[in-house]
Amino acid sequence: MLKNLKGYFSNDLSIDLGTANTLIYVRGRGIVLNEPSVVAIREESGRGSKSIQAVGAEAKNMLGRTPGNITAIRPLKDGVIADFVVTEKMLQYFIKRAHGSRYFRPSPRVLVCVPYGATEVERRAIRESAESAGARKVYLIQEPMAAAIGAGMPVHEARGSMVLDIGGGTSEVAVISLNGIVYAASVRVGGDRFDEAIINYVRRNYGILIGEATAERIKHEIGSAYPGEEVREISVKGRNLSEGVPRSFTLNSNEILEALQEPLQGIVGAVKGALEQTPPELGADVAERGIVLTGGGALLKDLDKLLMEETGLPVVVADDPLTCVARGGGRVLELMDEHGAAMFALD
Amino acid sequence: MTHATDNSIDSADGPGIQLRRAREARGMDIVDIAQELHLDTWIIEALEEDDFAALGAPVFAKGHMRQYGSLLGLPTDDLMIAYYRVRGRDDAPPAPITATMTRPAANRNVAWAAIVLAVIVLGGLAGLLWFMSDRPLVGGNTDEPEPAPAEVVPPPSFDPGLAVDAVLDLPADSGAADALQTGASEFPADTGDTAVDAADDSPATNTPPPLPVSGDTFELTLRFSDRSWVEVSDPGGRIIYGIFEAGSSRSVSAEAPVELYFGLVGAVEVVVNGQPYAVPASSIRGNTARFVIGN
Repeated sequence: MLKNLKGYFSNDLSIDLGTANTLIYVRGRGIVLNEPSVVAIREESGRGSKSIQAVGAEAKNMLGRTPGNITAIRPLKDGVIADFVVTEKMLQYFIKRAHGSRYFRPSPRVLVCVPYGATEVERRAIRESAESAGARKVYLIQEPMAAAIGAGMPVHEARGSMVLDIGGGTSEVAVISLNGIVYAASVRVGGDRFDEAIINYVRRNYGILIGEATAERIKHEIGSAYPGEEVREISVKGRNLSEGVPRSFTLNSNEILEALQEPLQGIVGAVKGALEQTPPELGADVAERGIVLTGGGALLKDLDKLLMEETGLPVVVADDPLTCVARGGGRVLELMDEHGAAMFALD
Repeated sequence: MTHATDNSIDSADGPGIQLRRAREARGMDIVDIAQELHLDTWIIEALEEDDFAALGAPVFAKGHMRQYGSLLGLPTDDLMIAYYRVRGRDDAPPAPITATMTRPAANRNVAWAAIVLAVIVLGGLAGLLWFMSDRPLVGGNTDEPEPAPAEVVPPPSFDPGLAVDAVLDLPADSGAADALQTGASEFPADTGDTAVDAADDSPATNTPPPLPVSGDTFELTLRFSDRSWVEVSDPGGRIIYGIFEAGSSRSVSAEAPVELYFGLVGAVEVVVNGQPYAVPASSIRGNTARFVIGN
């Protein structure tokens, strides 16, 4: 009863609960929150109790830089919840911020986008986490469907549309027709694996250890998925493993390209697998119009070129790929009131 | 309306013409392009003829156009500006993200309205009860004179007239945010919304220099101290559109009224006929601002 009353004062939300970033779309207002999915927890000395020190961008700045009594953690791993309690606290904080009210706890209807490969247990964990965070009603939608809708693909048509959503923890490829997923696959390769590959490459070839934040910066600045004419360089610092002291060194884009080969081949393999499994009529539609890239991974330089060369198909990057999933979820919330939750096979 | 800045391509042309000219300048034919992009030749022809409807959903038309422009070395931002000029606003890109939280206007106003209304009702009930209970105590005689009006006014900390005005002036739509932010300053400030509140606290910024009126032509210059998304339209259509980098600037001759929409308002300096123009605080929502010059 109280939840329903509070629901009157709460706007519907669409949440892209990602491994790397959480985005919230508020119905009627657009995307209002885009924060890293990171929580910093402080342990009170002596008492053993824990409290939230920071959430989001502030907590991300603490990653790898915390003293002993503070732990900065990412509560989601590979697209699913790894730490239920911390995820719940993080969602609670984000929902309250998205809603903005200081006077009462919001109780909105929430649509959460979940990876296609999420198990029933993982889906239940996400649902319960959102409910515990104050949601009045929780709907789950598969990420590739939300990504395709957010990218503006004609998912309702009787034609095949292929979307590749590259997130922080997973990459999802799907062929969609008539508002339904015809084929989809999820591989646990994403932006995090790119960072790991860079860290491993630097350790192996330079004997230097760098942190996740540095690896991410390298990826953003000189990361590339396909050989280009221009070779870019970046100067970074890390700890020399043999000397034990910080050292500065220079990396170039060709080295990062080499470092990223393994995770990139994982994504290419998933796309090729999807094309093999796609019914021929839909495959012909995809071959004519192309594959659409969404997610933060789509911002990796020349990823579209790599996929174009590997598959022989046209590949395009959606407008603002980072927000496609959250925007698609928001659009589904709007359509849901008009056509009902069954339209997109929501849970 | 003329563009004062230099562009590597003629921005007055449609995107298709720009692509065709660039292709011909490089001595390539349509088949070469189609092979490079793994597209059918009819798609290349449709792009060059600005026949976007044939390409289906905008995501494909825009995506293929970016790939084509990139292959020819054309600046894709300029191509997209030309695309939106041809295709119109219906196919506008997604709104920019507001990195910091914007003021949730509608909900907060509804909540305020409910709180104020509840206080008024409770105050009214309390006053009525006091009035009813006071009469017999005065003398137990209904012929006793009415209590003085000063005795029935609510406590001094509560101003019913103000509260009633706030409620009555509160429309259900998000426009109510302006009423609350500018007029009803009696409401406590929200320390969380620093961008909006800081702007509200400095009324001096709301007094722009003499402005052009409707029908006037004036020089509009935008200078960027950080990367920002910008859209500017005058009665003739969209005149500036796209993402601009820090340190860049854009000047146009525009006809009033001109509508401006900034993604990161703090990064954009507006100059009208050589005079700095302060963005009205009431037009700012988080990092974005939408306002009209010369209305």
